[in-house]
Amino acid sequence: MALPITHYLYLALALFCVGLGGALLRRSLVVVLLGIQLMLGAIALLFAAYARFYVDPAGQIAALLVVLVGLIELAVAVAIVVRAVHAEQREGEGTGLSLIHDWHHHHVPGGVAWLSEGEGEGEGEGDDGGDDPGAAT
Amino acid sequence: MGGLISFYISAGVAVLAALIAMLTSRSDRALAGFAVSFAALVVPLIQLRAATVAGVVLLAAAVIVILLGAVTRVGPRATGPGRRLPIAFWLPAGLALLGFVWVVLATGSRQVVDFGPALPNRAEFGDGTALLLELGANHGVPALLVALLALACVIAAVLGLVAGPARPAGVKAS
Repeated sequence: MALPITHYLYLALALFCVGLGGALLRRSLVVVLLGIQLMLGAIALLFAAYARFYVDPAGQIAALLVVLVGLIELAVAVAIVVRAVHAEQREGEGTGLSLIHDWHHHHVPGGVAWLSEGEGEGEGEGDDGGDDPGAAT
Repeated sequence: MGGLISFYISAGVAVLAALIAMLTSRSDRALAGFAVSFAALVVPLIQLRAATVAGVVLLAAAVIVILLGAVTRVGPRATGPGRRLPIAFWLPAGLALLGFVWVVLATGSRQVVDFGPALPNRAEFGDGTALLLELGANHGVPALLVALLALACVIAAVLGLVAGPARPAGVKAS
């Protein structure tokens, strides 16, 4: 190996932690799905590292299958969203699709204010444009 | 030395882009960060002689970006001023970052650095054709299961899109 296996393991761990944090802490459907895909990519890297370490192609095959299963999961999620779009257009309730973006007009009745992630937020500025003194803290 | 530098550069880019993808509140920026992160992941995969996996990862990233990009287009466009992420996000995220730093510091000085064996006689390791042969010969069942999952997913998606609107509760079919 060109590098010790620990380099790849730490990289996979960092990517997995970042994806896990996004999947657990964000409310946006897109970011949650991206976080899950990041975790699966980290697992694929882990499999590839151990495959090289033990000189066994089974690890690479497992990495391939993990990535493909992630794609299948994403396709199911997108089909659900498209179905929700159709239901939204038919019934016109205007609530279900707000889950696609967070920081959106989304009121949580009875919810804790600092857990509701900023009622009335938009995606115009984001976290890096957070000069709003009324941030939901 | 060149391998080490390219690894550190690609790893830094991958983690940074993943962080941006998870932290930004705009979906298009999140998708761009995710694409950059997966593209940077190709370098360590190629170093590990997993070029086939790297190709599939790139393909998967392209499909993911296209699908989720389409999803963000069909959603309502958010309006209004942006805000910071709340403390409900930053508190667990900061604790997780501290935990990761602790794991690295606690294990880094005691880790067993191992390079694995050399590959003089296994030159076909990582080759796409050899991988497919191995997949067909020794891993047919998991490959079949994934293929069945994909088939069921396609059938369900097509049926869900073609079946038409569902009737509201209490409305009988004529």
